[in-house]
Amino acid sequence: MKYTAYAATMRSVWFSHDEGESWNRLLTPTGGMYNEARCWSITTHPKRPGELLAGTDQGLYRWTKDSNRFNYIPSPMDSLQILHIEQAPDDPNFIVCGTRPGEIFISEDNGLSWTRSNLDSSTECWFINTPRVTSVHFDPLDYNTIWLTIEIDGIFRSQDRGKTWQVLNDGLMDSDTHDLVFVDDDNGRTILCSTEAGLHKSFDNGQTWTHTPIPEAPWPYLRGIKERADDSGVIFASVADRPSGETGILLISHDHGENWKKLPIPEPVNTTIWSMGTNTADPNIIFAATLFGQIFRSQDGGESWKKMKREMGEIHMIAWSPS
Amino acid sequence: MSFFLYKPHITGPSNNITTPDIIIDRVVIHTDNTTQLVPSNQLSSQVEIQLTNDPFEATPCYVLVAAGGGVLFSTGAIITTSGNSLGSAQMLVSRSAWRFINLSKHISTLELTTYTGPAANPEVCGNQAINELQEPSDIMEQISGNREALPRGTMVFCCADQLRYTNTSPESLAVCIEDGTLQRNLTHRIQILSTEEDRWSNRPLPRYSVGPVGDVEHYI
Repeated sequence: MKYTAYAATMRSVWFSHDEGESWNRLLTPTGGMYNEARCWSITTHPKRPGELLAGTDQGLYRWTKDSNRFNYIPSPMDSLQILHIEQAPDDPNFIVCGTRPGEIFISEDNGLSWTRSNLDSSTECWFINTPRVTSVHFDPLDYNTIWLTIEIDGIFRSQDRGKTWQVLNDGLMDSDTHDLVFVDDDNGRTILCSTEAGLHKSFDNGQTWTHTPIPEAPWPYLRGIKERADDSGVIFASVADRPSGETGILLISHDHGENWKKLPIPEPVNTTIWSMGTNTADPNIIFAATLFGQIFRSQDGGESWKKMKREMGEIHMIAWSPS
Repeated sequence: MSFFLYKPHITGPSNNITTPDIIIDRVVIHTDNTTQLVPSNQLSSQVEIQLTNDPFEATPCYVLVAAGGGVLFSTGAIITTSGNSLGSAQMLVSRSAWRFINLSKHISTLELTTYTGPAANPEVCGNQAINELQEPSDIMEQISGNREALPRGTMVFCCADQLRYTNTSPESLAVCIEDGTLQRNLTHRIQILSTEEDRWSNRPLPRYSVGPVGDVEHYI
């Protein structure tokens, strides 16, 4: 299968058409986006092959394979950092963007018009001053339910597609929340949440959370958490000495987050592994990127990893989709 | 959904600075004992603005801003040109701010002073004690029912109407709040430029540079 990998960097979006071996970006004169735009977020949708949405600090953009350029999408977010973008699994026209400051903007018409959601998140926090959205998820069992993590303000859930929100922080040791994974099986639902203080689990759909230490993690700081795109129970978690720290490791669980082991990532890892890119088109292909620009690729479902030659300076998100 | 992204630098009493970015989408002006909602898209933290050569009025203000860590206290000015209402006023707010909670016990000692002229040699235009204006706590109570908080996204300009002045020419204006108790001041200096002024005596047409790629006859 031919695929394209995408990296959201501090110098716009980079593309790889050869499985991550080489990377290029569009030319500024014709590419539609400033080559040094700070790009924070990218997303693809299986119903929209050949399309990529990119969130930057200069606004929201849509790249299409046919045009091979970024087209600016007017939105109220031009002066904000667009940190996460998700499209509803059943309707790619329904777009949710999470920003810094911690706000949610929703378009139901493929970006033609936008509504700022009444998300009453914190407007300030001591540690990073301005809270920000760290992940956006459509509930895999109910696409009308949207989940958020906010750094630093905890976990939010909307059961009416962003019209109203609940804060679900009961039991969290730390409201510096980063990411969520949903495990739905015969035993019911478990939600995993990565936080600055480690892994938390909820067995009651987010009403309460329990801190669940991972003995194999040398540090508590848990950043990304991602399920392999095949419902096999395989989950990855990135652990680091601190955000933007000196190094990081990747853990794997084969049993929905019960037990973990360290993966043999080629070292040295230069800082926190910030993002992982999976796709249901081939669950075996997984990309991981450190915040300071290293790229790793697995072609066997995450069991082994190769460090790609190219480094990018700073990568905030990595993804891939079939070409 | 119009909003202004306010990026204050908030100095605490121990000189620590925090820098939250705060979305402002509800702006209130208190002036002449009246309260008026005004569009947030007239807000600015610029230190230079352009005005036509019409006479303008500048009214110094103290500014209250809703924030999660406690209401912010800053300074600014309302600029109106003759015949225009507050609804089309330019509202200028400093990016320097303090926490109201650090001032509330000695707010009566604060003074608002306006200066004109060059920054190196300013002339005092007027001053007024903050306690001669409407009290911040009263304003907050009127808006939110709480004497120490404002609703999310709210910014309030409280005008020092006695210090309002009219001018007919470009001006440099500084609005300063002096806190004698904590030995600090907070100043917003605004350079008012005439639309008739031009930094070019003979403004050139824009140029186009091809760059390092060689012969390109036309853009794209």
